[in-house]
Amino acid sequence: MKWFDYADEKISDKEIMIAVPSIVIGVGILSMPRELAGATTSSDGWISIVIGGTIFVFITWMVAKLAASFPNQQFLTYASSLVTKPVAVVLTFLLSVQGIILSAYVMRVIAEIAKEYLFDETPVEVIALTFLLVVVYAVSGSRAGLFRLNMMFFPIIVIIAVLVIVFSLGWFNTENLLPVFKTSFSGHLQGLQVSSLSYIGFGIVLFYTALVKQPAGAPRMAAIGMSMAVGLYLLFFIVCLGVFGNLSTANLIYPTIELAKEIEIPGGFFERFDSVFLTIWIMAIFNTTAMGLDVAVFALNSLFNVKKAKILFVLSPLVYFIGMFPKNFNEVVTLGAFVGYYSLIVTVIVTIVLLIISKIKGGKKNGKK
Amino acid sequence: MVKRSLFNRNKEQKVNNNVENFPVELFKNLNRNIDNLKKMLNEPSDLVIHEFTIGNNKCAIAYIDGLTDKDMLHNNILKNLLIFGRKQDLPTSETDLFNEVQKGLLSISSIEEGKSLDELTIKLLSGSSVFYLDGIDNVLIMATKGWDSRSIEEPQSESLIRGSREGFVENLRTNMVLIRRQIRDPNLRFKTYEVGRRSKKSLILTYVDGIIHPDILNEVNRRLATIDMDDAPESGYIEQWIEDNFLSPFPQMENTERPDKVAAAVLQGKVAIILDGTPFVLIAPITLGNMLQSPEDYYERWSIGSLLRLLRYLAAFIAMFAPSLYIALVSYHQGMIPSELAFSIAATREGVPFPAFIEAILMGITMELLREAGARLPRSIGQTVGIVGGIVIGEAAVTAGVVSPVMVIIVALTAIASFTTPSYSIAISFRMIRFGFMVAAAVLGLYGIVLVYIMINIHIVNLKSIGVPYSTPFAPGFLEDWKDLILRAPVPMLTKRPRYMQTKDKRSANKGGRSS
Amino acid sequence: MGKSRGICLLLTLGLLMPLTSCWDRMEIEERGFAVGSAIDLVEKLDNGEYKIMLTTQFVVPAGMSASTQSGGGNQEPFMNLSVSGESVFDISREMSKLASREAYYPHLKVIIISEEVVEEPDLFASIMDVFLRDHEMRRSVKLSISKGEAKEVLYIKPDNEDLPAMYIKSVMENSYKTGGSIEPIHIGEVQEYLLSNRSYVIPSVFVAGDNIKYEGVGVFQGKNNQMLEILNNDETKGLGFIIEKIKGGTIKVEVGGDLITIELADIKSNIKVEGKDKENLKISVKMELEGKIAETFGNKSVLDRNYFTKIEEAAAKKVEELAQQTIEKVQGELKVDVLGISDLLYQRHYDMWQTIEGDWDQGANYFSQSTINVSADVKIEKPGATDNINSNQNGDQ
Repeated sequence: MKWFDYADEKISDKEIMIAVPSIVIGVGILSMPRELAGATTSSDGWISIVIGGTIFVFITWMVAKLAASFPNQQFLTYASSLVTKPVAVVLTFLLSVQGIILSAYVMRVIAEIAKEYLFDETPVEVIALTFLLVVVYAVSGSRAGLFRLNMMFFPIIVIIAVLVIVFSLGWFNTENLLPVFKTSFSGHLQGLQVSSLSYIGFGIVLFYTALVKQPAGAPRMAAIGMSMAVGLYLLFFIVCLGVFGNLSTANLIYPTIELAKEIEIPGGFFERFDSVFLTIWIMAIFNTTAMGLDVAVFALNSLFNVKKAKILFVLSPLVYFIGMFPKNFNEVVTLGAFVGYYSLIVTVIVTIVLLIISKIKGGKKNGKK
Repeated sequence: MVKRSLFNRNKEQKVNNNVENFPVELFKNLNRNIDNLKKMLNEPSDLVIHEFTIGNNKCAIAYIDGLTDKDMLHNNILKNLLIFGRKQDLPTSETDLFNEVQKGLLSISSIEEGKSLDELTIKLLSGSSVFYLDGIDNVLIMATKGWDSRSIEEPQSESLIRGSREGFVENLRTNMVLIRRQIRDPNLRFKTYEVGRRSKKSLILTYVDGIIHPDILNEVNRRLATIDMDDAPESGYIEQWIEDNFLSPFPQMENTERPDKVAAAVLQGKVAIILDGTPFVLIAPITLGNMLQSPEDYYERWSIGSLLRLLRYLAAFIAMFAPSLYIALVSYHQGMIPSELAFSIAATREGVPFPAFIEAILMGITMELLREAGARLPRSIGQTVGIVGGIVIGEAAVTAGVVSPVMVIIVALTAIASFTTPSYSIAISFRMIRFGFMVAAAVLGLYGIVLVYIMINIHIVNLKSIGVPYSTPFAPGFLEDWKDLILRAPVPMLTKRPRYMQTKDKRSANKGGRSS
Repeated sequence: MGKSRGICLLLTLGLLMPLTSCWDRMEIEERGFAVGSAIDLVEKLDNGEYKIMLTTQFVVPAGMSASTQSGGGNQEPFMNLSVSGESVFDISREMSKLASREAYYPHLKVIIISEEVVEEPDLFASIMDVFLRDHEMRRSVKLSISKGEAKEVLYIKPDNEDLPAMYIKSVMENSYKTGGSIEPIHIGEVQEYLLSNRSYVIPSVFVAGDNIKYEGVGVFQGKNNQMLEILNNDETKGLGFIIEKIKGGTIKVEVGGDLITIELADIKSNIKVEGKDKENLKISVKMELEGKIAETFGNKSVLDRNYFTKIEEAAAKKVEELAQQTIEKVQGELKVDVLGISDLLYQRHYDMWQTIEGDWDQGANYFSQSTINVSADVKIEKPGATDNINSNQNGDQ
């Protein structure tokens, strides 16, 4: 039914603005304060977040700019016009792999976390499977529906995040943030490296900008969306540091969840807020997984001319097996690092290469005129 | 779109009339016509055929006893004809005579010519009277409808503290009048459809031209045209025929007995569908937000209206989640319950033989039984059932140790919360979903609840009502429409029609207030 | 599109259904809620390990006074189980067997550790590990050491509460406000201490007749988390002033032969490190206190400006004395920095801290070589509601 203005498969740039933080904010934020606090002295990690965040906001903007300069064209189409078709196919494939492993990793992590905080005996396999089935149900629906889901969940996620932050202010001790600017350069570099792994996922912009009706505003919106994620990371990091201090933060597996565990809701309505927080955070993680899987489906759909349902039917067991492959938590962490570096490298390289070529070609075109 | 083609609703089907072996045309011979009519209807006892003469011409009036306004028939038709028949200078030719009768004799508002037996039978059966003149293969069909009907009363299903007390009735015309009296806009349109292969009921589509988005109108028209069934006894049939997704637990059209609600909806760019014979008028398209709104939100001052809405959102939350959260907390996450409460719940559950899930299902089903019994029984007995069920069973179950007192509180709270939703059909949806949540909570605790919640959201974002996404204005988001969503802005600030309806005329008011 | 969605929905539901008999489901009445734990030392084994005894207090819901149903009559609302073993985790498993219900720790409120346990080096940290690692534990569980046997504390029968653990918790939460001890410590903070290698204090409780007393703090040295000594009441008060961990409390001063009690309301302490010589650091502690006159035994007008100033001065002197006494104890005798100076050095003098980190209150012990100056300033804001109740004698002064 393509007859009603906004009800069809097209999305607005506002939805891109929500989609970017929706995929970026997920499991990364739960463990990121630990890794960052471990790499830096005291609370200096915020510098890494700000610097890394600025870089990634800029990259996101570039990615969206690139995609938006080919309005309503799919990635494969415009990539083929820039580099050759075979190269474009390879790039699309690489990016779809990113979606697959990202969703597999995230699915595994949420299963591990849920087992740790919500369950005791229930096998990780079952937790992951039920989660994946819901994700598949979402992806099998309309793509615009997925963006609407983001819009429905994102405010809830922000509200719960703000609640956790506000309630932990009672435990916040500014002394814990001192001293400042004591981290060595290599520490900052390591912090940057660690924190940048939490920003992966913005590559979706390459694909989804094709769905935006008027993509002119998309780069700005994507950058704003990325800044939201950066802002939330920054807040969580500082609050974690202020509440736990550097040493404890570096030693808690999921400092952000522990933050929720630490706080007490006034009135004592819930004794443990961490379960509430985690339960709601599942929505954020769901958004990440669903977008990751959908972008893979979207990319493969442009390569092979088969039905979406069929691709999904093949992909979902694959995602499940990749996610279940690591045998223990350490292997999950390794998988996470792999996913992070892979996504980062692929997205950044693809963007830069395409941008440079489009600049060269664009220059030529302008010259002709 | 598989589900739709299952029922061939997309194909426009020709309605084939079942006129088997009767001649459909009218003859010049009066007796033959009368005979045909009688044969077609199989000489029912309520068919009255009054034969008389005008001058030398035989004529007859046929009508169905009980469907016609007899006073009107006697005073405005028969009397005139009989007086006319005694006049001397009657026209000689039958055609002239027929024209004379048609043009100048009958003091009644609507007369039309009927050319076929088929046509006149349907009119006859809907209350018109038919005038036959021997020698003419035409008849006059006179609108003499009139039968006893319920007078306008306060709507039973939606009562308000403040607001109009008028409710729709079964009579289509009366209902149209009720809407016309709310909106005196020349652009208010009433488009008539006839539904039912056999019932031939009138159905009226109402909208305001110039507000409604033409695509919505086209789509509704397209869907209404596909209706093909024997009878549509109630507007629910129409709703189920033309809704977008019949697998959904959510109603995709709103039904109401309140003319003011219909008028407000029509002015927002929606359509209303009125079916003869039912006081329930359908409003479409609707979104999730609409289901938790009541006209009273607008009639009371905005602060009260907003708070009432917030209360209703809270009630919807309780109605859906309370029992499942109880199950999840009591069976899985006891650590989340405040310590003192946890100990006292544990104390009250001591000796209860069932797990919380079974307990909740038991009480939930009991509650549904009570509600259903109360709804089916006459009102006076219904109250007794409520007392017996609510107080006696609840109290006895606790004393007997079958359920814990906290469970009774939860179930009662849930029931009360589900009664606060203004729309009965969404309340049913909530109740169905509640059981889904309970199962999820029993299986996977809070994790299960959130997964089902996500699934419901997935369903909602994919659902459409006449092509309008069900989840607007939450998503796709229209921030302007949030003025009238969870909160309601003061009336002078509600100057625009809902953006999500994409109305042609955007503004509904100028900036109001004292200054302007 | 519609079809596949429908199938997925059915598939999800279908897979969920058989799971109804679920792994983790356990009804609330089947749980054994642990509200308090006490740890005692049984003996030191030859191989250097320790045999410890864990006493856990379980709630017996039927005995709670809230459940007024018949039957539960005079049942005790709690049940204490003691099991000995070598590791806390094993013990708590063992305990589940005894208790016939699975021990469930999220409602744990207090942990009491006997002084015998903490006096052994490193034992404290290894015991705390299980409490911090287990995700069931809340970080706000309060921790205290006990003079004497820890399990005795859990056997106190309070009059106003059902559960001894709850009673202990509320005693801890409320009594530090009237002085005598410092703010209760929760295990989240303990984790920070354990990780940081700095010295710290943990408040102590002891049984006094039918009640418990929450008084004194145990001084722990950072390097092996061993308790050195429990400070007495006055020393604790002095410490509380320096580290701002006291909420109120009273001090008694004598002015012109009259005993005056001052109730302290607001305590601020400002510690500064001066001097660059790490072997002779100059540390100044400036305390600003606000208080009001709670009780006077004399008959002088408290509205008299001079008299008022005298009281303030006397109070300041008293505070200085208390603080000085504490400093002498911890710096001179125990040689551990529980005054938070190491935190200060880390936060404000990071570069210097880098050079002295390993030798602060251990090794070369620069802490004991530093000079600490204490000064206090007391402001009395309210003279109370009345000036003087013995007005007839007022003229004589």
